[in-house]
Amino acid sequence: MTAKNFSNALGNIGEGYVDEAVRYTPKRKRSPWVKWGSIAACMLLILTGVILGDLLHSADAPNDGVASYFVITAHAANGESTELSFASSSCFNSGTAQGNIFGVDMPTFNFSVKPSDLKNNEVLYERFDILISYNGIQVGATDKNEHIMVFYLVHREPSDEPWAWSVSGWFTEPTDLVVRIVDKESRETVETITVNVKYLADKQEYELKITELNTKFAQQKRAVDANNFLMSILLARNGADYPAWFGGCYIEDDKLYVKLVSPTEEEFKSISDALAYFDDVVVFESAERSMAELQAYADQTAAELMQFGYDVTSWYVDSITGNIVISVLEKDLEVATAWVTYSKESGKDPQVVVEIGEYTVPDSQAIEFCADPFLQNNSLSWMYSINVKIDNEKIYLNEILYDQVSYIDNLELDFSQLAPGPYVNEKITEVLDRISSQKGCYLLKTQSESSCGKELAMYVIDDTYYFVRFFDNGSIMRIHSGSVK
Amino acid sequence: MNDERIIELFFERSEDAIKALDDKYGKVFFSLSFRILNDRFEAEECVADSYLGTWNAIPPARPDPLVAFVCKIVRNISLKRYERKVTAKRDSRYDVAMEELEDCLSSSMTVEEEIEERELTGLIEAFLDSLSRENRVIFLRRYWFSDSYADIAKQVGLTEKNVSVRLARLRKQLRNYLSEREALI
Repeated sequence: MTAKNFSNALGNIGEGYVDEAVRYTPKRKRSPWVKWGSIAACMLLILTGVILGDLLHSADAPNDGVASYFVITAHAANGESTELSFASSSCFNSGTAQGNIFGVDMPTFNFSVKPSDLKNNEVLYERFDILISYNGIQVGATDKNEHIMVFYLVHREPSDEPWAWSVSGWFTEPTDLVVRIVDKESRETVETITVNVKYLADKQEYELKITELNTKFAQQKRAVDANNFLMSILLARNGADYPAWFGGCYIEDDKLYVKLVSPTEEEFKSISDALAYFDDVVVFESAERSMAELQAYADQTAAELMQFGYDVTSWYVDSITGNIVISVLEKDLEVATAWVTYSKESGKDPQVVVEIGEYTVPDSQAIEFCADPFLQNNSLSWMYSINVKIDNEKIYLNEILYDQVSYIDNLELDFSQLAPGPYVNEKITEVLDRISSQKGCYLLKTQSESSCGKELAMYVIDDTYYFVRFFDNGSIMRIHSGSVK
Repeated sequence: MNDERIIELFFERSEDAIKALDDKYGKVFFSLSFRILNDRFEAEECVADSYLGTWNAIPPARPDPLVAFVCKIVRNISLKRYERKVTAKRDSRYDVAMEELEDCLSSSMTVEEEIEERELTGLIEAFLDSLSRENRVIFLRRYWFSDSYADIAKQVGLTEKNVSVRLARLRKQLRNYLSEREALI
């Protein structure tokens, strides 16, 4: 075959491919800011404990009598949102959409947006405490009325394909979002609007109501844009690693504060030139430690606490203070704080703050959770929780009924594709060994579409439950664990 | 003006259709042709010929998407003209892009029977489907539109170097893909 043969054949490909290439505009890069926001949101999600006694009695279990609270955890770190496809081509009204989050298929969502006279405009996000993805969707599991997801669908032009704009956030109450309407040609802001969103549990639908027109968030938006731009620069120049001069950044009072750690003249000029367009909202300040150093220290400290047997729920670097914040279950607060305090060799170490990381959900049976062990497939990059509920001897995972529970003797598992990482320690290795050595497990199945998959293996070992989730091809996606109290 | 309205003008046999088409997509068509022919004058002629071709095709055709439909006409006409004017001097971007593909596709062995063009198109489409959207666009911008690395980098928001590396990987992927399906020997 010659290139000419190939070129001729290439010339005959479907027009859809050509059209896509003509119209393609790059996705906005997902910034670490959003990534960490996402993690924070996920952390809020990680929860849930239930009583399994009824299930165990009904499932012909050998561990008869083990019945108590247990905890489910879920994991992830980062990831890219992916395309959203539509079951409905209607614009900015109502319909059904099927999302795909970080490579994980999500259930079909119903949506309704009012009024419908906003078509032919773009809708941009405004609030920086809301996670958003461009031309895609970024959502997570919902739990009763605690978490709310919203998104918008718009046409840029009647002849164009539908564009999806999504806004997702995690709220405890019906919440106002602010969106901006932009003129297609001039790119000038035409108007900003406030949209109230809430999850209608009975309809399993997210309702959006425009409640107020206003223009007060323009400055915030500019600071967020500056932040996103900075992150895209860092990403382009340094990949996933932060440069040594970068000490973090945060938004406060509608300004983006960028921390610099002894930058060279060249480095400072480079970053200040790059951010010159945003000089009205960018403030540089000096910092003692780089973000890379702080993150590494946070990871290491959390891993050490886990190895000592403390139940760590989350950890992060506070960009404003430069402190490392580690959350543990309340029972471990005192000892973990003491350990952190006394383990510091000198005042040179970053400040570590230990907090209580217990999250409970009103009216649920969840009491606490921990994030250990962290185990998931290499290809995954995002935390995902399982909400487990037992009701009338039936088990529900993320509200989906798993109506087939059986006990099987020989399920072969291949752990080789689970990710190694800073969290993999002897304890995790031991967990894998314990699961591998089990003679049998429960198999939970459902015929419904479920974000947890149609089949999971559940192991009950001593005082811990393990949920093993699978990809469609049978390989292991991730393992969730929970301790029996 | 939206595409549907432009097509309506073609159906009404209004010459405004050509003007509207040119206003909206003229630059796309010209740059496509120019990158193949590397000659401004000839590219303009090809685009004009393509408008005539479009005028003759609509009606009865009612293309959707319109821009891709006309792009194909522009590309075909430009390639035909290119074939006619091929000389020893090989200097267009189309040439350069094709040379890259020659390295990827040809081998020292002779193919006994060329795969049917139609089948090959199907294979290419399947290959394209296997790519991420961004990679698909990069591949097509290079080998369908003959865009330069710099142009592609600008369009997809990557660095030129990044585009170059991506394309090298995509060519390797393509070669493996076609080899596995015995489209290459």
